[in-house]
Amino acid sequence: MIKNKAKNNSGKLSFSRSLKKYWILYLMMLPGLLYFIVFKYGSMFGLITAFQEFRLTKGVLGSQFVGFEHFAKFFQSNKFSTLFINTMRLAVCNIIFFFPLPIIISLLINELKSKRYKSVIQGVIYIPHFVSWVVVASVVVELFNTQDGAITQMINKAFGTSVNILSNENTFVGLITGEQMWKEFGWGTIIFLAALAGVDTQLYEAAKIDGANRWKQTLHVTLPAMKPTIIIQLILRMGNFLNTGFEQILLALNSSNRSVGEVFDTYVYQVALQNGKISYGTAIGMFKSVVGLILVVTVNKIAKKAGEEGVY
Amino acid sequence: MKKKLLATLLSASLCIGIVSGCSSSETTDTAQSETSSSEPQTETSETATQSNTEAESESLEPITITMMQELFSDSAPDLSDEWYTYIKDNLGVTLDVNFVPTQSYVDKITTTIASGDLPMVIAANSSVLKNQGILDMIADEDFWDLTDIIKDYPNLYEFVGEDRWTTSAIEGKNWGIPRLRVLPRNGGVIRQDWLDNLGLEMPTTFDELYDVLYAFTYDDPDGNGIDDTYGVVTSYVGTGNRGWNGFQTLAVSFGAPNTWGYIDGKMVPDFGTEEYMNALKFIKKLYDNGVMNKNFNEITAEDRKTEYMAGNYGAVFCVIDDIQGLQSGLVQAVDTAQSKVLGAVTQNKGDTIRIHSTTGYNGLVMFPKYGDGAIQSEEELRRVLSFYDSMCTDEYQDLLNYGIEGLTYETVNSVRTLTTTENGSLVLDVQKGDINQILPAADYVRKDDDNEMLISLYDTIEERMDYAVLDDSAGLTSATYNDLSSELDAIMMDAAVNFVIGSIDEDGYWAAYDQWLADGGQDVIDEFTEAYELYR
Repeated sequence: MIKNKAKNNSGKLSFSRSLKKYWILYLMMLPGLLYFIVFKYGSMFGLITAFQEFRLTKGVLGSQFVGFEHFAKFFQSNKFSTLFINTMRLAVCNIIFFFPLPIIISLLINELKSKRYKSVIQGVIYIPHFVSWVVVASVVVELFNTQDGAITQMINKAFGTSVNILSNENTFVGLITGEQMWKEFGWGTIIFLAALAGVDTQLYEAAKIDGANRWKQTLHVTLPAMKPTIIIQLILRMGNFLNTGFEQILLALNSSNRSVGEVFDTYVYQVALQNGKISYGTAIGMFKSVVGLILVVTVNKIAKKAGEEGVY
Repeated sequence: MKKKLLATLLSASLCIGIVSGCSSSETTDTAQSETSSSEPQTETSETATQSNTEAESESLEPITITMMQELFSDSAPDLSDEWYTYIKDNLGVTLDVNFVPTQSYVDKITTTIASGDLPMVIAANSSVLKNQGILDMIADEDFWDLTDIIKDYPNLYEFVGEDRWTTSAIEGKNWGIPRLRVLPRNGGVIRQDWLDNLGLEMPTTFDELYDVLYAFTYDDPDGNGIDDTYGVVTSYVGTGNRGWNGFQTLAVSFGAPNTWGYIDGKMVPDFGTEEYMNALKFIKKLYDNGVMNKNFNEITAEDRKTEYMAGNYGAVFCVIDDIQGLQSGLVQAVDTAQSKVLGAVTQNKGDTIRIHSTTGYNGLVMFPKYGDGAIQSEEELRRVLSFYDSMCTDEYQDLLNYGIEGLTYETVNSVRTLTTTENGSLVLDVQKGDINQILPAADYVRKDDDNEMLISLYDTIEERMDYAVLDDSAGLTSATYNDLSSELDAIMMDAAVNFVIGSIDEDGYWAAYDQWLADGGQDVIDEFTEAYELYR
């Protein structure tokens, strides 16, 4: 009720008066707003180049418009299906194997009794997030390369069979998903732990009195409390569904896994920055973003239909 | 309750945004510090104009030439050092060079064109020359066309030589000064001390080469009683690697054309020939028997050098002028090691030697017309070219190769010996950095203080010059190839690698070739054939 009142009051205030009254809040909003205006909305201007035969020397205003030619060219090229399938494969694996991991980990961390131990664990599992992909990739090469990788040799000596992980079509998806899991599972727990911190302790007490054990408490108190967070995370994740991680994949690509490993992101890099075909690259990037937008909207609708709270 | 949750959630994700923003700024920081090396020069350029009023002897007016080029070493040279000051004092030219790390050079070119910030001179390597932005600029004549002007600069013209002005022309026009490279450059380096240890001779045929490399792998050439040696190391991770990584070197020796050959009235790519297949089978034999490194498609070109220099490999495929660097690295691991250029091999004893050859140049030094910082008038262009012309005289070639007496070299008994710093690098290299890439530098120079290894290297180069097999497509363009080069090249690179490691068989390789033809290769063949008949 109080909330509603406040809302009504502020709704009556004119913008200038509200600015005066809450100027400090607006000030705090400013950096974030600027970030979005400059780096997100501002750069959308460049999408025009997707419909042009963009010449670097002529600029956005001077280049000739060609309509949907680049999109048509891309959809007709035989790269399209390969890239699409490869990207989908990685994205689906990411949702199935990586997405639940931070949820499980944060549930486990939540069950820890010792506060000290808990914060040490949290600190330690955040660290891989700060390791750059270049470093991860070179460590992986050291461990798994076919000639003298540490783990390759261990398996070789122990079982007498040689394994090939880096140059193998069949292990590529596992390699990429595994790297992602190792690097980001800890970082992903932050949001879920924040959600868990907000769970009313009275609920647990009530559940205990009703005779619920730890497992039942998790199942009937913790998880329902986390559900909105999980769903919002899932919706937001959908927006990045086709963003498969550019650096990571570029660093893992080689001749033997390119057929399953080349994705939209690496192809855009190659086409736009290496070959300098800006328009074509922009068209592909734009296609990817549109798919992302459609996914967010659809999943959000489904979530709302199912009676959950969406992102908007 | 739910609203509150969403609020916590959003604020948490904002935190993440901020923190991860910090972490990613690390990478951009290093990029900035690399580029910021050009900042101090703007100051020096001001002082330059002052000090040059004193150097009245120079008839040409002083000028600051802005340049952009690749940085291969770890750090850029200090442009206020004596070497650069010498040029400023004597030629009235202040060099303002933006050194860009080689990994991001092509990207940087794209962004520099887009922002209209091109300097007066850029070094365009072969990847840059495939960039659509550069190709568009050439088509729009946004670079200065040197075709009719170069003859006015006799030193420069002679220095490059008529042949390379011709081969480096793009459809008959010279869009830049070719960066000279040794023609018979690709080959290999082998451990002479291992050959001696095992009592083997330098191989001259493919069978002998195989036997030698096999013995390197299994006969304990370093005599330590442990099976820790391999025959040969190479790397194939980029489409441009096959020139030096043994694939083309061996293929040409097997009789394949160099990249493209005009055979029976049409242009044929080397990878479409039976001879190339023979080379692949030879490499596959090395791979299958553990003689060659199994991770050749995973390690970078730099890694393969490191592997050789660690002393576990008996040979490495490389450009033969790398021998000096390889040897100096190798002796740090194994002090008795001795490297030698791998001899030319043929199929049977006494066959004519065929050596894979480069085009004789690697990219162009180009002079942009477009952009505020570029060369605006022909007058300005002529001033810059006259500087290049001066750099081609003996006096300034000596400056490039020896530097300044008493500082970068000492003369003892009329032999000029380059001085080294405490950590073993040449003072000259520290002073001038990689500037040779953008100034006129010879493909190789016999210096006064050359050691035996270098003398024998230059002898080898001169011997091989007669056997060099040239690329028939040099200087020709194909619109389809310009458009699809990276995809087409990748198809055949992947096919070659996968054939060697055994994930496809010979039929699979030819299926990939058919794919290449269907994806645009046939058009490339037709266009090159047409261009060849037009310009040759």
